[in-house]
Amino acid sequence: MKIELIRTAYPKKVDYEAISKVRKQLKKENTTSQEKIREIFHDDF
Amino acid sequence: MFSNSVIKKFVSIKNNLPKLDNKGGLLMPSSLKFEDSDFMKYRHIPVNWEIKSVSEDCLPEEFSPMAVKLVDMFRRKTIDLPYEIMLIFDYKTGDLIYCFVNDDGSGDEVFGVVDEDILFGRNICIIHNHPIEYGSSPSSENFQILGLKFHDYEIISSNDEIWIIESKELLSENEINDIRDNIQHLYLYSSEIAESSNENENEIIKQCDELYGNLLLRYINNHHLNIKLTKQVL
Repeated sequence: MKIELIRTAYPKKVDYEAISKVRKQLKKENTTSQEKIREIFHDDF
Repeated sequence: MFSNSVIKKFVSIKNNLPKLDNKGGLLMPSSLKFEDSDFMKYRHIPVNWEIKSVSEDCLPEEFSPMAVKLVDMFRRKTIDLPYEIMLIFDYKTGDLIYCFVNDDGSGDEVFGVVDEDILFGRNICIIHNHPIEYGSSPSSENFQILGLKFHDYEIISSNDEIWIIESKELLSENEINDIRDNIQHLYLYSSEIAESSNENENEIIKQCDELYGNLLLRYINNHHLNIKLTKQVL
């Protein structure tokens, strides 16, 4: 079976558009990035 | 004069060392029969002899001396490149199996199609480089290893670090999507935190890279599934 391999890297640039989208979502959910990170770590952060 | 036993020992050592051409390029093992124009490009990339070696201490114990040499040479050849290269090799024999060079892309990706039948039954490691304009930490897409049966190690080589992902168990698609989604979010939340506490763009990038890298190490290594992530600073 043929498999496609893709490898990418994050740019060393500030993606203000992506940050703005994240902030809108955080505001909508009335939370913060730190809180969302805690959720990912199941509060062990 | 050397005795026969000493000469035999030298020959044995020589046969176990990687074979290099006069530009420091690893020679394609004769067992590989396919034509590879990307490998020809790779062979002719100059070697940077000024940087620190990747030694066996930087890599998993299972890596043979030939595989260590292959990783060291990959780093020396790619450290100054503005684009990505990906090698697929057997970490126990040091055999190079596939080579993909993306020298006409934007520098943030490399891709290739492989035949699973060729890789099955081997001890597979995939290595690729992140050029200096890109973060050194693995991106969420660098975790394709979690869903590939034949793939044991993933190495990301950057300007000053080497990241190694070890995953020998096949995860379900749901688990993989969950992990990759969380990794992508850790990156976005790190960017948001860094941007809100710094005004200088370089400081934002530096803090984001550091925070994301640390969160990623903690997230992967604390995960209930058997995945290991290590970072070597060179």
